Amino acid sequence: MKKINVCFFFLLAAGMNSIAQTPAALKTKLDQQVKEIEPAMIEWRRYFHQNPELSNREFKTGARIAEQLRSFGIEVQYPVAKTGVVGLLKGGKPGPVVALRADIDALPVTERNSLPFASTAKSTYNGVETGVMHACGHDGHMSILLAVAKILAQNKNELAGTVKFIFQPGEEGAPPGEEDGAVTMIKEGVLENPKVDVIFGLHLQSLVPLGTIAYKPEGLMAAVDGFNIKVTGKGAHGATPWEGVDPIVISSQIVTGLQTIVSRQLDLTHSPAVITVGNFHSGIRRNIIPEEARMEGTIRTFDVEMQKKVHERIKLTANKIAESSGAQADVSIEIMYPLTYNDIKLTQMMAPSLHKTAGQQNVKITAPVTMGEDFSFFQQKIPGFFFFVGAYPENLKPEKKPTHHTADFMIDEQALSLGVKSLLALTTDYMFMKK
Amino acid sequence: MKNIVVLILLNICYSAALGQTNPKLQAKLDQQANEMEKQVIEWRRHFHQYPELSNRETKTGAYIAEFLKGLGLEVQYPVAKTGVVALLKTGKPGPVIALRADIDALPVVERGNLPFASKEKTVYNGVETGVMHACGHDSHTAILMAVAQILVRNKSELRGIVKFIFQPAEEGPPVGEDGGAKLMVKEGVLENPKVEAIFGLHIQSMRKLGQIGYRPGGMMAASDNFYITVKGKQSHGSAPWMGIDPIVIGTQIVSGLQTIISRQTELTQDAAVITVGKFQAGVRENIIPEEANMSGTIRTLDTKMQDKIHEKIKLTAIKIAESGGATAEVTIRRGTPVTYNDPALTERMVPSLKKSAGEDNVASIQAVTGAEDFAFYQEKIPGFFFFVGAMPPDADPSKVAAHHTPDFFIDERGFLTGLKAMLQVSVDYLSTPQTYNNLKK
Repeated sequence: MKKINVCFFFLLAAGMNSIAQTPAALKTKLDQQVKEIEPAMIEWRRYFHQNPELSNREFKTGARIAEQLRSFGIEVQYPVAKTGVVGLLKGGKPGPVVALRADIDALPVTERNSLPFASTAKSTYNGVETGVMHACGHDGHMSILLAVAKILAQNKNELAGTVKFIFQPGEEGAPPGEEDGAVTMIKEGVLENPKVDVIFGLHLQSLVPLGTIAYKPEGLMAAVDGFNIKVTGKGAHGATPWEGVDPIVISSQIVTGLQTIVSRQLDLTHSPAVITVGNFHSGIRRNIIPEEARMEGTIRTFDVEMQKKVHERIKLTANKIAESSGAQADVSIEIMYPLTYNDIKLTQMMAPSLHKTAGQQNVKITAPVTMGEDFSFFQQKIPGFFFFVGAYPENLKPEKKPTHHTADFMIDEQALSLGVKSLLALTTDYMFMKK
Repeated sequence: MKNIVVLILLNICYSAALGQTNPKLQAKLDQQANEMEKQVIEWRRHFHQYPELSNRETKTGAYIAEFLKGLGLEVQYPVAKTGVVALLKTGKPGPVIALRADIDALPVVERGNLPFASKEKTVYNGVETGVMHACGHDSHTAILMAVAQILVRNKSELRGIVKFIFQPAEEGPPVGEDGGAKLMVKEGVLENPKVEAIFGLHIQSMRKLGQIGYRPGGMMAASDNFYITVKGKQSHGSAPWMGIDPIVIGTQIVSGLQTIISRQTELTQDAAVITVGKFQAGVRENIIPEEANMSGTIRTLDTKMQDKIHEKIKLTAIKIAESGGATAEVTIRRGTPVTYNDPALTERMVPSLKKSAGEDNVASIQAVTGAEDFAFYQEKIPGFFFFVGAMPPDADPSKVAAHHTPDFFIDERGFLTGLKAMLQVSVDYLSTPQTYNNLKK
């Protein structure tokens, strides 16, 4: 009997490629409830899509979420970090504290899609009038997490632990002088009372095939740092360069030199890295050699040591090349977003839940992505797992690329259900594994 | 009253500047130069047929020395290995001037089918090669021999002392040897008696026959060499991060060096050139080498600019190397200085050139980035160097063979222009009652 049991257990484990322990009955019920909630969830998503708000200005959005969570019977803390919402759901059984996070802000992009619920919202960004659009899918993330909250609340008594729903503002970056959404939430104690054991988050991906999930252990999304270089030369008439020290020619040499940090000085087999000079401003008139040139750029790395090395090399390269022509470079590096780092053990532990949810063949290990994500701030404090849910619009021609952050960004709403199922599976599996 | 004195002074200066050769002597010199033309051509053909490489001009030197002794001159031979110096003392007080011709040939295989074409062969840097007077030094030597002969014939009507310098190795001595103008100066050619001013000419295959070109100040460039070793760290070509790539850093230095000229040098004052002529690094396509070696040449026309460029080359190479984590060692070897025509002396002698070649045939020209070791004399004393045209009148200037090439060709009619110009410059200078220094004040 015992033997048979053991055998059976192994077969089951191998077959499901998992030791996740959500009871089958609960699982079936959850799946059924996801189906039932889908129309409402799409409606929520369309509301958010039509009413996008910029980072740290998600007033209506936050209020709406808070109201919804309360209607599900969830204990709500609002506002957190200006416009964020935190919901707390205590399960009927003891267990770990699981945090689920969705970001809620939109972008200063004017929507070009002709959807019935396309955004016509307008705002002012950095003093410029602009449209506002959920051009990164955060509308989907919120709706998914609301659906997860509603379903979990419905099954409250069967949960072994506590769930914290984090609706985080300002993921895309706070306005100048304000702080990032995740950072502020952590400062305001979102990972405490009760202390969170683990955090899960997802991102809808418009370029990843519908129905698929992509993840990666360790560095998934890049650490993002900014650099500013000021090259101080000496102004002169454009006709007499020898009387000045030309910051434009010197800075051009610096731009080229910076590329050799990546191409010659970094172990790219360990992890990739990117140095981009995104703006270069100097001078006011064609025949005046200006006093200085200013460059700004972004650094993308996937390893903390490499990140440090890149910072040092950028300083060395800029300073020495400037000195080589008699100029001076001032380099400042702004540490911005840490690496979105999926804890190895946690990733190994949770991958089977994704396999179960999406089907083994639909879950892929992805290459690292050079974009950044402020979910990383949570992962700096506690183990976290972040993954991508494919949302490439089903009927869109393959040559059309509804790239994130563009006016043509579009997701297929069918992806939302997979997001909900994934988060539900991660949450309940984790709870029952850690019970 | 004061004004009148100034006027008189100016007048004296002016006539001094024009030279004071008396008209009778002038006519005689012209006549004798015309008579000598055939002889000059004959000498030149001899030298052309028997060219000798730098510091190997043994037959050439002996030939010249014998000729000069035959003129009754006080001859010093050999000087600076194979060179010849001869003194013409007029016995009358006056300035000491030097006239210089270079006598060496080049490792070039002559391609023309002249009856007196060179068939000489030799070994240069271990390689068998032909030898050719492919820069016209044969004509310089022949012209100066004629100048010596004519001045000796008119000795009684001249003042001061003329030193004839037949200098070997202008093209540069063989590796490991001293030679040329630098060695002649070292061996005291400008002393005993102390030379006050020196004159030299260069025949040019690309300048029209009968024309003379000169430039006050820097006329031909200083030529210095630089050597840069970029020390990186060797690694496999597939793993650049394990090493420090001296090739990529070296190429950044090559680009950086160009900005010294384009951005940091006052090109309206004078031209300047930095050329990396050689870049050597590595042994195999998939090994990032330990170091890269570059060498190049620097051409400048002004000594201050020259010093500044040397400093900038060091700064640029060292700092760019550091920017990639490498080190650079920079060595700069000064070669030939600027061929610098003392402006006061030039101003004083230009009328002589115009008198000899005709007003319309003498022009101030652009600087030349080639170098000339006449500059070593000019480093010590005021000197004046000029170009004499020897391009056939019907030639297409764009198709004429350049100096140092197998088809180098000069029109022998150019010699007379050179001979007359040299005679005129010498005699006018010697006839001037004032010394150079007085004139300068």
